[in-house]
Amino acid sequence: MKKKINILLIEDNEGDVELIKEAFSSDAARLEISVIDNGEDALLSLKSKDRVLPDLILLDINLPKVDGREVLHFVKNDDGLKKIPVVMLTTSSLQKDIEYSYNNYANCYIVKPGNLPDFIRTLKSIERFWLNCVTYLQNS
Amino acid sequence: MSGETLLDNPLSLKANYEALINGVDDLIWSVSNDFRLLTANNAFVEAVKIYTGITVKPGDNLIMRDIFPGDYLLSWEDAYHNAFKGGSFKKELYTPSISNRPESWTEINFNPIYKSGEIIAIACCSRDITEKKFKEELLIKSEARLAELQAVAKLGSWETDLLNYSVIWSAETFRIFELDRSRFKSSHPGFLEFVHPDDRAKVDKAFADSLGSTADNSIEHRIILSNGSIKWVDERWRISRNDQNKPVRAIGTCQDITERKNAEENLRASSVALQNTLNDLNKIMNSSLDAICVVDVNGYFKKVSAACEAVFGYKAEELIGRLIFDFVYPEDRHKTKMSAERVMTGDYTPNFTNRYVRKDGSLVYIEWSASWDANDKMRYGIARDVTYRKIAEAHLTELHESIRRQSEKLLQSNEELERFAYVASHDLQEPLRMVTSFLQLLKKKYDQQLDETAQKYINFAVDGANRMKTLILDLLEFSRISSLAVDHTVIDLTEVVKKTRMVLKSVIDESHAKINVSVLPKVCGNESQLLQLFQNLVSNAIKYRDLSIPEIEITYSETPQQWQFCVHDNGIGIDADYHDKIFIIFQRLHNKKDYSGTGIGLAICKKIVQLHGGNIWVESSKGKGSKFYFTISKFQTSAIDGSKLLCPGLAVDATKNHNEKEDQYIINRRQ
Repeated sequence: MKKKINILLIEDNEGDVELIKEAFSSDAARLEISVIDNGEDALLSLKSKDRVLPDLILLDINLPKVDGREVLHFVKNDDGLKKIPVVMLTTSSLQKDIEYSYNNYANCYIVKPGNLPDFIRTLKSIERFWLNCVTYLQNS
Repeated sequence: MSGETLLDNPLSLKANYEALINGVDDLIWSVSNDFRLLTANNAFVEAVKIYTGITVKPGDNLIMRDIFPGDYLLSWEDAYHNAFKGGSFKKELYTPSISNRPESWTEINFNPIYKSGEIIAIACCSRDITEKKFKEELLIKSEARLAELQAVAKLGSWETDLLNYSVIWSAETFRIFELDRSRFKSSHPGFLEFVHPDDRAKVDKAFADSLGSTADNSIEHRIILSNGSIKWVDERWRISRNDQNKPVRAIGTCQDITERKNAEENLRASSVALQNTLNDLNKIMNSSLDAICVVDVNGYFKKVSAACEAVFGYKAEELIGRLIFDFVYPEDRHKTKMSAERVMTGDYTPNFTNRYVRKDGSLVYIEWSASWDANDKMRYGIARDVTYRKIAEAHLTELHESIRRQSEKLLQSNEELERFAYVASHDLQEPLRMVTSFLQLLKKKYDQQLDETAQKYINFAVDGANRMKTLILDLLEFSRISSLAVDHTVIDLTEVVKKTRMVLKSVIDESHAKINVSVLPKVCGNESQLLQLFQNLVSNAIKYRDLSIPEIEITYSETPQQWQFCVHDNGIGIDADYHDKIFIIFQRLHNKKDYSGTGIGLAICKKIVQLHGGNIWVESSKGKGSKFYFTISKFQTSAIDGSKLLCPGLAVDATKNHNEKEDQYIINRRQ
């Protein structure tokens, strides 16, 4: 059986978790989505020795305890982690958040679309691009 | 006795002659033309014997060359020769010291003796005039000395005969009057002609008074010389009287005192000037609002001006002699001492300020301007009461501080407000997104189970959430305009309108709107804001149309201060009651079924125009189209000091001589 693609979703909003899962539901068979609802636990998980490295990180910015900016900074400065694509998925459209993210090597910055059809389309696009195109090239 | 008898006797006649010529001290003799003695009296024989030791006899040659010097004999020979030529004369002859005899002067009469019309001999009579000669010589010498002394003293003398008022002046007097002897009338009236008319009465009175007085008299008066110049003279005289005590003569001196008078006058004038200056200085000193103080080397007040009472609260006499430090506010004494020492090194020390305790106990702030005079060892200080200024300064500082605090607060609350608006609109979107998304998810997943009413309700809910989202976005937009720090550059509005057409292309095409626009000027502003401004106004003009094809005209005019633009449409127009309301945020005039929108567009326009130093207003009436006017200032308000600056580049543009380089000029507008 083919190994499942591992997506790490760091998101504190349960509604968004539900919506994201819904968006990926058509591909649920080949995806494994782990959810961590705060930055601190996310860092602990990413630092642990028996960690399973995700193929893609979907990262919210405004998180309890440790926020998404710090998580991004850690990931992109860790030699073992920095190749993992990080997609910032947030409600913030603040210029400074966008600039911070790209300055810290986020691979993509997405403002969560306000209505369901757009939201689903956007996440499908992310999945297609980062998991089908980019991951494929990495593996080869 | 009968004379005729006596004269008839030749012997007695001879004896008579001999007695006559021998009875006088004068030497009498006669000489022949070969200078031999004919006859002589005893005095002559005696005199010759005294000189020569010889008893001279008739027939002896009188030119005794071996006894008398040649020069002396020559003058005798000359005299005899002259007498033989027929002269009868007197001659004064000097006889040098010979044979231990003293030198002498003699006066000799030479008279020829005729016989048959021919001169046969010379009769001589000699008299000793030595004493007279010496006296004359002494007189001449003393007169010369007198004249010289008069000249040295510039002191002339004069004498007036009071019987006929004739006048005798000394040479020096003539010199003083700078007058030639020949031109003087030699009379008292002649003298009076030279007296200065203003002094004439005085001179006359003094002279008249002196006639009745025995004392010495004097007067100083002016004379006018023939060349018109004026001299001062000092006349002193006394009156001589005869036996009957009648005044007969006035004798006096006349001294030229012009120099002294001039010197006196100069001295007087300069002392008057000095006094005037001192008076002026005193007046100035005492009318100064600042107290002027003179303080000695030990710090004692020596002199103070009248203002000291107003400044220090003490009268001058209460300060003079007191130590200046006693009046200084104790806290300021040390720095006052330091400053005083610096003054006494000769440093000019302006604007030193310290505090004094006034007589009533109040404090006064004094600003000093002080200098040090090393010669008289005095400090000269001007003390200005700057208490009001200090108080005003303190108030001003306080005021500044409170303004600063207020503006800080304002800035803080502004920032908070902006952050609040921003965060609120973001955070508000989050739950809205949840509402919308889950309603949609509900609809998607449970489509079959929901009836038509449930579907409709979901639609309403989603629509409401969407509208709320739009409102929030608009609010966000609005708050972003005011919070954005923007650079102002020179913007070509013609280009802005071109871009507006592009952005609104679909709406324009769909409505077949016509936009007429002349060439618009370049202004100073923010491009994206100005684009939004035109976009909102043009899209409104198209949106609020009636059934006819929209026609929009954009025009402008200018004043030295600002540009004024007009966007004129042929749309539905606005009732006058709403002309102000339309610029208020979220104010809508129309049902959203007829005209969509949240009512943010014109509020944003107003904000943009205000950020460009202008105003926006509308002229319209229902059904007659609208004219939206707005202005853009040609000046920028400096963020640093609030002054108005002409936008760079526009000054050149205003004279229709535009330089492209000016466009590069960017004004950084801080907020």
